[in-house]
Amino acid sequence: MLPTNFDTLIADRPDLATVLTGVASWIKHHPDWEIIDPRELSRSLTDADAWALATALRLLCDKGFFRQVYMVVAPSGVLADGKYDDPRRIPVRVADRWNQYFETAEADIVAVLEARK
Amino acid sequence: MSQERSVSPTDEELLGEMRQLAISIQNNPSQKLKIVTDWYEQKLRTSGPQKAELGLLLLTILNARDSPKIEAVAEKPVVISLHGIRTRGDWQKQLSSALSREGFVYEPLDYGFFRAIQLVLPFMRERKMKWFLDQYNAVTKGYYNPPSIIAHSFGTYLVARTLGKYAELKFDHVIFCGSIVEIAYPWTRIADSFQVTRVLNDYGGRDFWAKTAVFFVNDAGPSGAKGFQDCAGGRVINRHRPEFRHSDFFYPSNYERTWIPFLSGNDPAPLAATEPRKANWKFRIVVAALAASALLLAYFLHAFWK
Repeated sequence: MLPTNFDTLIADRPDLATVLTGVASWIKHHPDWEIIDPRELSRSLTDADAWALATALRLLCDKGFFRQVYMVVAPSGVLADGKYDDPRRIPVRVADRWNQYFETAEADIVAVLEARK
Repeated sequence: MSQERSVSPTDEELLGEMRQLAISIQNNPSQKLKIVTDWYEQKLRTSGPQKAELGLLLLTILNARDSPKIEAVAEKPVVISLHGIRTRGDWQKQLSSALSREGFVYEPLDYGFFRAIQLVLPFMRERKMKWFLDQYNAVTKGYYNPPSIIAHSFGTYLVARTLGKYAELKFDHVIFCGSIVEIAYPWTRIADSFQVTRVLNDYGGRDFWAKTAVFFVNDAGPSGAKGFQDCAGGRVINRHRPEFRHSDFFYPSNYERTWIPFLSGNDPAPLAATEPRKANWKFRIVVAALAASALLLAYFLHAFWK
Protein backbone atom coordinates (compact mmCIF):
# COMPACT_ATOMS: atom_id res chain seq x y z
CA MET A 1 0.00 0.00 0.00
CA LEU A 2 1.09 3.55 -0.61
CA PRO A 3 2.36 5.54 2.42
CA THR A 4 -0.35 7.12 4.58
CA ASN A 5 1.38 8.39 7.71
CA PHE A 6 1.56 12.14 7.14
CA ASP A 7 1.26 13.15 10.83
CA THR A 8 4.54 15.08 10.97
CA LEU A 9 3.67 16.83 7.76
CA ILE A 10 0.20 17.72 9.02
CA ALA A 11 1.78 19.22 12.15
CA ASP A 12 4.13 21.27 10.00
CA ARG A 13 1.45 22.47 7.58
CA PRO A 14 -1.81 22.95 9.46
CA ASP A 15 -3.13 24.97 6.52
CA LEU A 16 -3.07 21.76 4.44
CA ALA A 17 -4.12 19.41 7.29
CA THR A 18 -7.63 18.78 5.99
CA VAL A 19 -6.44 17.97 2.48
CA LEU A 20 -3.55 15.77 3.68
CA THR A 21 -5.92 13.85 5.98
CA GLY A 22 -8.26 13.43 3.04
CA VAL A 23 -5.40 12.09 0.87
CA ALA A 24 -4.36 9.61 3.60
CA SER A 25 -7.94 8.45 3.95
CA TRP A 26 -8.30 8.03 0.16
CA ILE A 27 -5.14 5.87 0.04
CA LYS A 28 -6.44 3.67 2.86
CA HIS A 29 -9.64 3.13 0.91
CA HIS A 30 -7.67 2.21 -2.22
CA PRO A 31 -5.07 -0.26 -0.86
CA ASP A 32 -4.47 -1.87 -4.27
CA TRP A 33 -3.54 1.30 -6.08
CA GLU A 34 0.10 1.70 -7.01
CA ILE A 35 -0.25 5.34 -7.91
CA ILE A 36 -2.25 8.37 -6.79
CA ASP A 37 -4.23 9.56 -9.77
CA PRO A 38 -5.11 13.21 -8.95
CA ARG A 39 -8.16 12.96 -11.21
CA GLU A 40 -9.67 10.20 -9.08
CA LEU A 41 -8.52 11.85 -5.88
CA SER A 42 -10.07 15.20 -6.76
CA ARG A 43 -13.35 13.53 -7.66
CA SER A 44 -13.40 11.99 -4.17
CA LEU A 45 -12.27 15.11 -2.31
CA THR A 46 -14.82 17.33 -3.99
CA ASP A 47 -14.73 20.01 -1.29
CA ALA A 48 -10.96 20.39 -1.44
CA ASP A 49 -9.79 23.43 -3.31
CA ALA A 50 -7.88 22.50 -6.48
CA TRP A 51 -5.00 24.74 -5.53
CA ALA A 52 -4.75 23.30 -1.99
CA LEU A 53 -4.92 19.76 -3.35
CA ALA A 54 -2.17 20.35 -5.90
CA THR A 55 0.00 22.06 -3.25
CA ALA A 56 -0.51 19.18 -0.81
CA LEU A 57 0.43 16.59 -3.44
CA ARG A 58 3.55 18.54 -4.36
CA LEU A 59 4.44 18.69 -0.66
CA LEU A 60 4.20 14.90 -0.43
CA CYS A 61 6.67 14.70 -3.31
CA ASP A 62 9.03 17.28 -1.81
CA LYS A 63 9.08 15.41 1.51
CA GLY A 64 10.05 12.18 -0.21
CA PHE A 65 6.85 10.15 0.12
CA PHE A 66 6.14 10.12 -3.58
CA ARG A 67 7.56 11.21 -6.89
CA GLN A 68 5.65 12.89 -9.67
CA VAL A 69 5.56 11.08 -12.99
CA TYR A 70 3.54 11.47 -16.15
CA MET A 71 1.25 9.01 -17.86
CA VAL A 72 -0.73 9.13 -21.10
CA VAL A 73 -4.44 8.50 -21.45
CA ALA A 74 -5.06 5.99 -24.23
CA PRO A 75 -7.96 6.51 -26.69
CA SER A 76 -9.92 3.91 -24.68
CA GLY A 77 -9.78 6.28 -21.70
CA VAL A 78 -7.48 4.20 -19.49
CA LEU A 79 -3.92 5.09 -18.63
CA ALA A 80 -1.24 3.47 -20.77
CA ASP A 81 1.40 1.60 -18.75
CA GLY A 82 4.39 3.85 -19.46
CA LYS A 83 5.48 6.30 -16.75
CA TYR A 84 7.75 9.20 -17.61
CA ASP A 85 9.77 11.42 -15.27
CA ASP A 86 9.52 14.28 -17.71
CA PRO A 87 6.58 14.96 -20.06
CA ARG A 88 9.07 15.85 -22.80
CA ARG A 89 10.21 12.20 -22.82
CA ILE A 90 6.81 10.89 -23.84
CA PRO A 91 7.32 9.15 -27.20
CA VAL A 92 5.37 10.05 -30.34
CA ARG A 93 3.62 6.66 -30.24
CA VAL A 94 2.99 4.46 -27.22
CA ALA A 95 1.27 1.13 -26.66
CA ASP A 96 -1.91 0.82 -24.62
CA ARG A 97 -2.57 -2.10 -22.28
CA TRP A 98 -3.60 -4.29 -25.18
CA ASN A 99 -0.43 -3.47 -27.07
CA GLN A 100 -2.24 -1.29 -29.57
CA TYR A 101 -0.09 1.72 -30.52
CA PHE A 102 -1.57 5.23 -30.58
CA GLU A 103 -0.29 8.73 -31.32
CA THR A 104 0.37 10.81 -28.21
CA ALA A 105 0.07 14.24 -29.88
CA GLU A 106 -3.64 14.44 -29.09
CA ALA A 107 -3.58 12.38 -25.88
CA ASP A 108 -4.25 13.75 -22.40
CA ILE A 109 -1.17 13.88 -20.19
CA VAL A 110 -1.81 13.13 -16.54
CA ALA A 111 0.51 13.97 -13.66
CA VAL A 112 0.38 11.09 -11.15
CA LEU A 113 2.22 10.24 -7.93
CA GLU A 114 3.97 6.93 -7.33
CA ALA A 115 5.62 5.81 -4.12
CA ARG A 116 9.31 6.58 -3.96
CA LYS A 117 11.24 3.33 -3.93
CA MET B 1 -13.23 19.94 3.90
CA SER B 2 -13.77 23.28 2.28
CA GLN B 3 -10.78 25.50 2.78
CA GLU B 4 -9.98 29.15 2.39
CA ARG B 5 -7.81 29.70 -0.65
CA SER B 6 -4.79 31.78 0.10
CA VAL B 7 -2.68 32.09 -3.00
CA SER B 8 0.14 34.49 -3.54
CA PRO B 9 0.24 36.78 -6.60
CA THR B 10 2.74 34.44 -8.29
CA ASP B 11 0.47 31.48 -7.58
CA GLU B 12 -2.46 33.41 -9.00
CA GLU B 13 -0.30 33.92 -12.08
CA LEU B 14 0.25 30.15 -12.31
CA LEU B 15 -3.50 29.58 -12.11
CA GLY B 16 -3.90 32.11 -14.92
CA GLU B 17 -1.31 30.29 -16.98
CA MET B 18 -3.14 27.00 -16.48
CA ARG B 19 -6.31 28.66 -17.66
CA GLN B 20 -4.54 29.87 -20.80
CA LEU B 21 -3.01 26.44 -21.30
CA ALA B 22 -6.41 24.75 -21.09
CA ILE B 23 -7.85 27.25 -23.58
CA SER B 24 -4.92 26.67 -25.98
CA ILE B 25 -5.45 22.91 -25.73
CA GLN B 26 -9.15 23.33 -26.35
CA ASN B 27 -8.44 25.41 -29.46
CA ASN B 28 -5.72 23.05 -30.77
CA PRO B 29 -6.56 19.55 -29.58
CA SER B 30 -4.20 17.98 -32.14
CA GLN B 31 -1.28 19.80 -30.50
CA LYS B 32 -2.12 18.84 -26.91
CA LEU B 33 1.19 17.19 -26.04
CA LYS B 34 3.25 19.90 -27.71
CA ILE B 35 1.38 22.71 -25.92
CA VAL B 36 1.90 21.02 -22.55
CA THR B 37 5.56 20.22 -23.08
CA ASP B 38 6.33 23.69 -24.50
CA TRP B 39 4.79 25.29 -21.42
CA TYR B 40 6.64 22.85 -19.15
CA GLU B 41 9.97 23.61 -20.79
CA GLN B 42 9.42 27.36 -20.58
CA LYS B 43 8.34 27.11 -16.94
CA LEU B 44 11.40 25.02 -16.09
CA ARG B 45 13.58 27.77 -17.54
CA THR B 46 11.79 30.74 -15.99
CA SER B 47 10.59 29.47 -12.60
CA GLY B 48 12.27 26.10 -11.99
CA PRO B 49 11.00 22.53 -11.60
CA GLN B 50 8.82 23.22 -8.52
CA LYS B 51 6.44 25.51 -10.38
CA ALA B 52 6.52 23.42 -13.55
CA GLU B 53 5.56 20.23 -11.67
CA LEU B 54 2.93 22.05 -9.59
CA GLY B 55 1.42 23.55 -12.75
CA LEU B 56 0.94 20.17 -14.43
CA LEU B 57 -0.56 18.68 -11.25
CA LEU B 58 -2.96 21.59 -11.10
CA LEU B 59 -3.87 21.20 -14.77
CA THR B 60 -4.61 17.50 -14.21
CA ILE B 61 -6.91 18.33 -11.28
CA LEU B 62 -8.68 21.22 -13.00
CA ASN B 63 -9.32 19.17 -16.12
CA ALA B 64 -10.74 16.31 -14.09
CA ARG B 65 -13.18 18.32 -12.07
CA ASP B 66 -16.79 18.64 -13.02
CA SER B 67 -17.14 22.01 -11.34
CA PRO B 68 -17.37 25.67 -12.27
CA LYS B 69 -13.58 25.70 -12.38
CA ILE B 70 -13.62 23.53 -15.49
CA GLU B 71 -15.99 25.96 -17.13
CA ALA B 72 -13.72 28.77 -15.96
CA VAL B 73 -10.81 27.02 -17.60
CA ALA B 74 -12.68 26.34 -20.80
CA GLU B 75 -14.67 29.53 -21.31
CA LYS B 76 -13.71 32.01 -23.99
CA PRO B 77 -12.04 35.11 -22.57
CA VAL B 78 -14.02 38.35 -22.71
CA VAL B 79 -12.41 41.60 -23.88
CA ILE B 80 -14.04 44.99 -23.28
CA SER B 81 -12.97 48.17 -25.04
CA LEU B 82 -13.60 51.74 -23.98
CA HIS B 83 -13.07 54.83 -26.13
CA GLY B 84 -12.00 58.40 -25.24
CA ILE B 85 -13.74 61.77 -25.45
CA ARG B 86 -14.80 63.57 -28.62
CA THR B 87 -14.94 60.25 -30.49
CA ARG B 88 -17.17 57.20 -30.78
CA GLY B 89 -14.16 54.89 -31.12
CA ASP B 90 -13.93 53.73 -34.75
CA TRP B 91 -10.90 51.71 -33.65
CA GLN B 92 -13.21 49.61 -31.51
CA LYS B 93 -14.93 48.39 -34.66
CA GLN B 94 -11.57 47.59 -36.32
CA LEU B 95 -10.59 45.50 -33.31
CA SER B 96 -13.71 43.41 -33.54
CA SER B 97 -12.68 41.06 -36.33
CA ALA B 98 -9.11 40.66 -35.05
CA LEU B 99 -10.31 39.66 -31.57
CA SER B 100 -13.11 37.41 -32.79
CA ARG B 101 -10.68 35.59 -35.08
CA GLU B 102 -8.53 34.74 -32.05
CA GLY B 103 -11.48 33.36 -30.09
CA PHE B 104 -12.20 36.28 -27.77
CA VAL B 105 -15.69 37.42 -26.88
CA TYR B 106 -15.58 41.12 -27.68
CA GLU B 107 -17.72 43.79 -25.97
CA PRO B 108 -17.03 47.34 -27.23
CA LEU B 109 -18.58 49.88 -24.85
CA ASP B 110 -19.86 53.20 -26.12
CA TYR B 111 -20.83 56.03 -23.76
CA GLY B 112 -21.64 58.39 -26.59
CA PHE B 113 -19.95 61.59 -27.65
CA PHE B 114 -18.42 63.05 -24.48
CA ARG B 115 -17.50 66.71 -24.94
CA ALA B 116 -14.30 68.24 -23.56
CA ILE B 117 -16.29 70.59 -21.34
CA GLN B 118 -18.02 67.57 -19.76
CA LEU B 119 -14.61 66.11 -18.92
CA VAL B 120 -13.83 69.14 -16.76
CA LEU B 121 -16.92 68.70 -14.60
CA PRO B 122 -16.34 66.23 -11.72
CA PHE B 123 -20.00 65.17 -11.43
CA MET B 124 -20.08 64.30 -15.14
CA ARG B 125 -17.02 62.10 -14.71
CA GLU B 126 -18.64 60.45 -11.66
CA ARG B 127 -21.74 59.76 -13.72
CA LYS B 128 -19.63 58.03 -16.38
CA MET B 129 -17.92 55.90 -13.71
CA LYS B 130 -21.31 54.68 -12.52
CA TRP B 131 -22.28 53.98 -16.13
CA PHE B 132 -19.06 52.01 -16.62
CA LEU B 133 -19.67 49.96 -13.45
CA ASP B 134 -23.16 49.07 -14.66
CA GLN B 135 -21.79 48.04 -18.07
CA TYR B 136 -19.08 45.94 -16.41
CA ASN B 137 -21.68 44.10 -14.34
CA ALA B 138 -23.84 43.48 -17.39
CA VAL B 139 -20.97 42.22 -19.55
CA THR B 140 -19.47 39.90 -16.92
CA LYS B 141 -22.75 38.34 -15.85
CA GLY B 142 -22.55 34.57 -16.30
CA TYR B 143 -18.78 34.46 -16.72
CA TYR B 144 -16.40 32.93 -14.18
CA ASN B 145 -13.24 34.71 -15.29
CA PRO B 146 -12.69 38.46 -15.16
CA PRO B 147 -12.63 40.20 -18.56
CA SER B 148 -9.66 41.98 -20.10
CA ILE B 149 -9.98 45.60 -21.19
CA ILE B 150 -8.51 47.92 -23.82
CA ALA B 151 -9.00 51.60 -23.02
CA HIS B 152 -8.01 54.86 -24.68
CA SER B 153 -7.72 58.38 -23.25
CA PHE B 154 -10.73 59.15 -21.02
CA GLY B 155 -11.47 55.42 -21.08
CA THR B 156 -8.21 54.83 -19.16
CA TYR B 157 -9.30 57.41 -16.59
CA LEU B 158 -12.63 55.64 -16.13
CA VAL B 159 -10.95 52.25 -15.70
CA ALA B 160 -8.34 53.51 -13.22
CA ARG B 161 -10.79 55.53 -11.11
CA THR B 162 -13.40 52.77 -11.05
CA LEU B 163 -10.77 50.16 -10.07
CA GLY B 164 -9.66 52.45 -7.24
CA LYS B 165 -13.19 53.02 -5.99
CA TYR B 166 -14.72 49.55 -6.35
CA ALA B 167 -12.57 46.67 -5.05
CA GLU B 168 -15.01 44.17 -6.61
CA LEU B 169 -14.00 45.27 -10.11
CA LYS B 170 -11.48 42.82 -11.57
CA PHE B 171 -9.73 42.57 -14.92
CA ASP B 172 -7.42 39.97 -16.34
CA HIS B 173 -5.26 41.92 -18.79
CA VAL B 174 -5.48 45.69 -19.09
CA ILE B 175 -4.24 47.66 -22.12
CA PHE B 176 -4.01 51.45 -21.90
CA CYS B 177 -3.13 53.80 -24.74
CA GLY B 178 -3.21 57.59 -24.71
CA SER B 179 -3.65 57.27 -20.96
CA ILE B 180 -4.59 60.33 -18.89
CA VAL B 181 -4.10 58.54 -15.56
CA GLU B 182 -1.57 59.95 -13.09
CA ILE B 183 1.93 58.45 -13.44
CA ALA B 184 2.01 57.49 -9.73
CA TYR B 185 -1.14 55.33 -10.00
CA PRO B 186 -0.86 52.60 -7.30
CA TRP B 187 -0.69 49.53 -9.53
CA THR B 188 1.02 47.44 -6.83
CA ARG B 189 -1.96 47.82 -4.51
CA ILE B 190 -4.41 47.10 -7.35
CA ALA B 191 -2.47 44.04 -8.58
CA ASP B 192 -1.82 42.70 -5.06
CA SER B 193 -5.54 42.72 -4.39
CA PHE B 194 -6.02 40.66 -7.59
CA GLN B 195 -7.96 43.39 -9.37
CA VAL B 196 -5.68 43.09 -12.40
CA THR B 197 -3.30 40.38 -13.63
CA ARG B 198 -1.11 42.38 -16.01
CA VAL B 199 -1.13 45.85 -17.53
CA LEU B 200 0.30 47.08 -20.83
CA ASN B 201 0.65 50.85 -21.12
CA ASP B 202 1.28 51.87 -24.73
CA TYR B 203 2.44 55.48 -24.45
CA GLY B 204 3.62 58.07 -26.93
CA GLY B 205 6.28 60.74 -26.62
CA ARG B 206 4.23 63.24 -28.63
CA ASP B 207 0.88 62.77 -26.90
CA PHE B 208 -0.30 66.36 -26.41
CA TRP B 209 -3.61 65.42 -24.74
CA ALA B 210 -1.99 63.10 -22.21
CA LYS B 211 0.39 65.91 -21.25
CA THR B 212 -2.30 68.56 -20.91
CA ALA B 213 -5.19 66.62 -19.31
CA VAL B 214 -3.77 67.35 -15.86
CA PHE B 215 -4.50 71.06 -16.37
CA PHE B 216 -8.22 70.39 -16.75
CA VAL B 217 -8.86 67.32 -14.62
CA ASN B 218 -7.76 67.39 -11.00
CA ASP B 219 -6.82 63.71 -10.68
CA ALA B 220 -5.55 63.09 -14.22
CA GLY B 221 -1.90 62.70 -15.26
CA PRO B 222 0.46 62.22 -18.20
CA SER B 223 1.03 58.43 -18.07
CA GLY B 224 0.11 58.35 -21.76
CA ALA B 225 3.23 60.45 -22.44
CA LYS B 226 5.59 59.42 -19.65
CA GLY B 227 4.56 55.92 -18.55
CA PHE B 228 3.73 54.67 -15.06
CA GLN B 229 6.20 54.82 -12.17
CA ASP B 230 4.71 51.94 -10.16
CA CYS B 231 5.20 48.85 -12.32
CA ALA B 232 3.95 46.43 -9.62
CA GLY B 233 7.01 44.21 -9.76
CA GLY B 234 6.90 43.75 -13.53
CA ARG B 235 3.14 43.28 -13.78
CA VAL B 236 2.83 46.67 -15.49
CA ILE B 237 4.66 47.01 -18.80
CA ASN B 238 5.36 50.50 -20.13
CA ARG B 239 5.83 50.46 -23.90
CA HIS B 240 7.29 53.72 -25.15
CA ARG B 241 6.62 54.95 -28.70
CA PRO B 242 8.62 58.20 -28.96
CA GLU B 243 6.94 59.36 -32.17
CA PHE B 244 3.35 58.49 -31.28
CA ARG B 245 0.59 61.02 -30.74
CA HIS B 246 -2.63 60.50 -28.79
CA SER B 247 -4.40 58.21 -31.24
CA ASP B 248 -1.53 56.63 -33.18
CA PHE B 249 -1.96 53.22 -31.56
CA PHE B 250 -4.87 52.11 -33.67
CA TYR B 251 -3.63 50.00 -36.57
CA PRO B 252 -4.02 46.31 -37.36
CA SER B 253 -0.43 45.16 -36.84
CA ASN B 254 -0.39 46.72 -33.37
CA TYR B 255 -3.52 44.74 -32.52
CA GLU B 256 -2.22 41.52 -34.05
CA ARG B 257 1.42 41.63 -32.93
CA THR B 258 1.18 43.37 -29.58
CA TRP B 259 -2.27 43.62 -28.06
CA ILE B 260 -3.79 40.24 -28.90
CA PRO B 261 -0.65 38.25 -27.90
CA PHE B 262 -0.63 40.24 -24.64
CA LEU B 263 -4.29 39.40 -24.02
CA SER B 264 -3.35 35.74 -24.62
CA GLY B 265 -0.67 35.88 -21.94
CA ASN B 266 2.42 36.74 -24.00
CA ASP B 267 4.30 39.91 -23.14
CA PRO B 268 5.32 41.97 -26.16
CA ALA B 269 8.95 41.90 -27.23
CA PRO B 270 10.83 45.01 -26.11
CA LEU B 271 10.98 47.78 -28.68
CA ALA B 272 14.35 48.81 -30.04
CA ALA B 273 15.52 51.91 -28.18
CA THR B 274 15.01 54.99 -30.29
CA GLU B 275 16.43 58.42 -29.67
CA PRO B 276 13.97 61.31 -29.73
CA ARG B 277 14.06 62.96 -33.12
CA LYS B 278 16.48 65.91 -33.14
CA ALA B 279 15.09 69.33 -34.03
CA ASN B 280 15.83 70.34 -37.63
CA TRP B 281 17.08 73.89 -37.01
CA LYS B 282 17.69 74.58 -40.69
CA PHE B 283 14.04 73.92 -41.46
CA ARG B 284 12.89 75.96 -38.47
CA ILE B 285 15.04 78.93 -39.52
CA VAL B 286 13.53 78.83 -43.01
CA VAL B 287 9.98 78.70 -41.55
CA ALA B 288 10.79 81.55 -39.15
CA ALA B 289 12.30 83.59 -42.00
CA LEU B 290 9.22 82.99 -44.17
CA ALA B 291 6.93 83.97 -41.31
CA ALA B 292 8.95 87.12 -40.64
CA SER B 293 8.88 87.98 -44.38
CA ALA B 294 5.12 87.50 -44.47
CA LEU B 295 4.70 89.79 -41.46
CA LEU B 296 6.96 92.43 -42.99
CA LEU B 297 5.08 92.20 -46.28
CA ALA B 298 1.77 92.55 -44.46
CA TYR B 299 3.14 95.55 -42.58
CA PHE B 300 4.34 97.29 -45.76
CA LEU B 301 1.11 96.53 -47.59
CA HIS B 302 -0.85 97.91 -44.69
CA ALA B 303 1.35 101.06 -44.62
CA PHE B 304 1.06 101.42 -48.44
CA TRP B 305 -2.76 101.21 -48.50
CA LYS B 306 -3.11 103.60 -45.55
